[in-house]
Amino acid sequence: MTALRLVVLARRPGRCLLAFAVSLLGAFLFWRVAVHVEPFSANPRRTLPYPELAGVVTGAVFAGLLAPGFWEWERLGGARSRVVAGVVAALGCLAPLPAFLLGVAQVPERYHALTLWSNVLLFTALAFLLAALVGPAVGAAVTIGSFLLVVLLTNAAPAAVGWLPVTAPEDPTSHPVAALALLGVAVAAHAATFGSTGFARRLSRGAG
Amino acid sequence: MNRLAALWWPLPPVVLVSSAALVAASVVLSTRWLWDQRFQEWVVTSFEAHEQVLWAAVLAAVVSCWTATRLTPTRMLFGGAHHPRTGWPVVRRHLAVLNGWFLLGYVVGIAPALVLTATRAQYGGPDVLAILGGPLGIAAASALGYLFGVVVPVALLSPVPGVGVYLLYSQSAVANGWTALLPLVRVWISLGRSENPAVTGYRVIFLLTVLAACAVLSAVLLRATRRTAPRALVAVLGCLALPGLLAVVPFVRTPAPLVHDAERPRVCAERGDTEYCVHEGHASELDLLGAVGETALASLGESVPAPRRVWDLALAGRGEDPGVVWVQLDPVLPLEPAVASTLAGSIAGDDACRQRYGDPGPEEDWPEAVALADDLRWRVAALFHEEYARVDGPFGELSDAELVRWLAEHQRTVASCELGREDLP
Repeated sequence: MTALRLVVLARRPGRCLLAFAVSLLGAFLFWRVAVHVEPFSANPRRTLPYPELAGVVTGAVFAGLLAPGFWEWERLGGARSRVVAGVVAALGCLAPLPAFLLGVAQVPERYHALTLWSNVLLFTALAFLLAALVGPAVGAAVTIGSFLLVVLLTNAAPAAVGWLPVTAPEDPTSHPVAALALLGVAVAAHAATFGSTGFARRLSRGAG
Repeated sequence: MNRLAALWWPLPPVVLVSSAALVAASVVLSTRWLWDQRFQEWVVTSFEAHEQVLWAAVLAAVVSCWTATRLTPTRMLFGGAHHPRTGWPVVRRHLAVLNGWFLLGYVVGIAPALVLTATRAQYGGPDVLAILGGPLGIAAASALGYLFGVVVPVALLSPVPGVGVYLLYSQSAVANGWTALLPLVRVWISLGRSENPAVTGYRVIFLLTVLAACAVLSAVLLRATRRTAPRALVAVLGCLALPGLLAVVPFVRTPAPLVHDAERPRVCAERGDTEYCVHEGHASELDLLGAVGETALASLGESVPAPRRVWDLALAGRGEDPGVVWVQLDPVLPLEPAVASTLAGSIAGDDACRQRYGDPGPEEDWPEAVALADDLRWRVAALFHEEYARVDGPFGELSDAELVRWLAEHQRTVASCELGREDLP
C-alpha cells in the first residue's frame, strides 16, 4: 500500500483540495457575475456566467494538478496503477461540478443556468483527455480556447452550434450523453496510458 | 541581439504574434457593429474604444502570467535573487515587449472604427482620455497577470488571473465606484452627452498607477531574499497603498460617468407647418427625417393638427421645450418606423398621459385612458408605416379614412388623455 500512497500523493492532493476550496469560494462570491457575448448583434446574445467559465477553467487546472507524478514508474505498476489513473481522472472530471452547482443554484430558475452543467463536464473531460494525450499545458490551452470559441460561435452562428453537443443558457435541455461519453473516453485514456503518453511527457517536460 | 530580435526578445515571437492577433480579433469583433452605422458619433466610438477590451484584457493577463511563470521563477538557473538577470530590468523588458504587442493588436483592431469615425463623424472629436482607458486597461490587466505569475510561479495556473480579470472588469454597473477605475463602464451613451472628463482622467491615472505598482512589486519580489525581506515588505506595502487609496476615493464620492453637453448646436428645416431639427452631429439625417415626417403627417390630412416641432432626442435638455416631439435617431435601426411610432405617440396623446399619470407601471395596471391611448398609438403607427401591422383592439376595425375622421372629431379628448369607452368608434 505504501507504493500506492506515494503514487496518489505524487498527484498533489493538497493543491487539489486548495483549488477545490478556492473554486467553491469563488462560486459562492461571484455567482452573480455574467458577461454578454454579442459581437454579432443581429443574433441572440450568448451570456457567459461566471460559474460556467470558472468550471471549465477549474477543470483544465485540475487536469494539470492531477497529472501523474511518477509516470515513468507508475506505468510499470500494472492493473492497480491503471485503476488509480482511471479513478483519479474520473474524480477530477467531476471535481468542478460542486462549485458550478453551488453557483448556479442561486441563479433564478428562469435563466436555465443549471443545464450548463453538461458543458462544464464536457470541457473538463476534454481537458483530461488532452492532458493524457498531449499534456496538461497544451490541453488546457486547447480546452479553454475551444470553449471560448464555442461561446463565440453560439452568438455568431446559433444554427451551427445546434449540431454540437453543447448547451447555451436559456436552453432548457442539456447534453448529458455526449458529456458522459467523453468522460468515459477520458477515463479510459487515463487508464490505458497510466495518465500520460510518452509524447505528452516529452512535450511538457519542464512545464509547471 | 540583432535589431529584429529586439522586437520580441526574450519572448517567443509566435506567442507575441498570436496574442496580438487574438487581441485584434477580439477588438474587431466587439466593435464591428460600429462599422455599418448610417452615421458615426465620436462620443460612441471613444466610449467603445475603452468599453470593448474585456477579452483583450483577459488574454493579456493570461499571457503575461504565463511569461512570468516561465521566465522569472527563482528555481530557474537564471532567476536567483542575486543573479544579475532578474528584478527590474527583466520585468520592464517583459512588460514592455508584451504590452507593445498587445497595443499593436489593439490599434489594429480599433483602427477601422476610428478611421471610419474620423472620416464620417459630423461633430466633435475623439475623447483622448476616454480612448486611453482601453489600452491602459489591457496594460493594467497584463501587469496584474504578470504579478500573479511572479507570486505563484505555476504555468498551469496562468488561466486563473484571466478569470480574475474577467471578474474584476465585470464589476462596473451604472454609477458605482468601479466606473471611475475600470475601462468597462456599462452605461448607454449617445450624442448630446459625453463622458465625464473627471472620471476618464481619474481612470487613466488609476490604471497607470496599477500598472506601475504591479511592475515595481514584481521586481521587488523577484529580488527579495530573506536578508532583504524587511525592506521588501516596506516596498510591497508602498506599492499596495497607492492604488488602494486611489481605489477607495470613487466609492466614497461616486462621480457621474456621463455629463450632459452644455452646447448642442442644431440644424433645422421647415416642412409644411412643422419644424424639424437635429443635432449638428446628425446633420446627414435631417433630410430623411423631414421627408419621413412629412409623408407620415400628410396621411393625416388637414383636419388633424400636426405637431409643430419634431426634434432630435440628442437636443433634449432637462424638462424644457414643451410641445416638442422628440425623435431618437438610432445609427443602426431604420429611421422610418422609429419616426412613425414617435409621431403616432404624439398624435395619440402620449405627452398628456405621461403628465397626468406619470410612469403608469406594468401594462396590466394601466388606467383605461392610457391603455386606449396606447391602442390608438399603434393604430396610427400602422397608418404612418407599413411595418406596424394593424392589430385587433378598439381601433382595429377602422379603415384609414375612418380613423382620420375619428381623430379629427376627438382631438380634444385625445390631446388631454381623457379617452373612455364611450368615445370608441
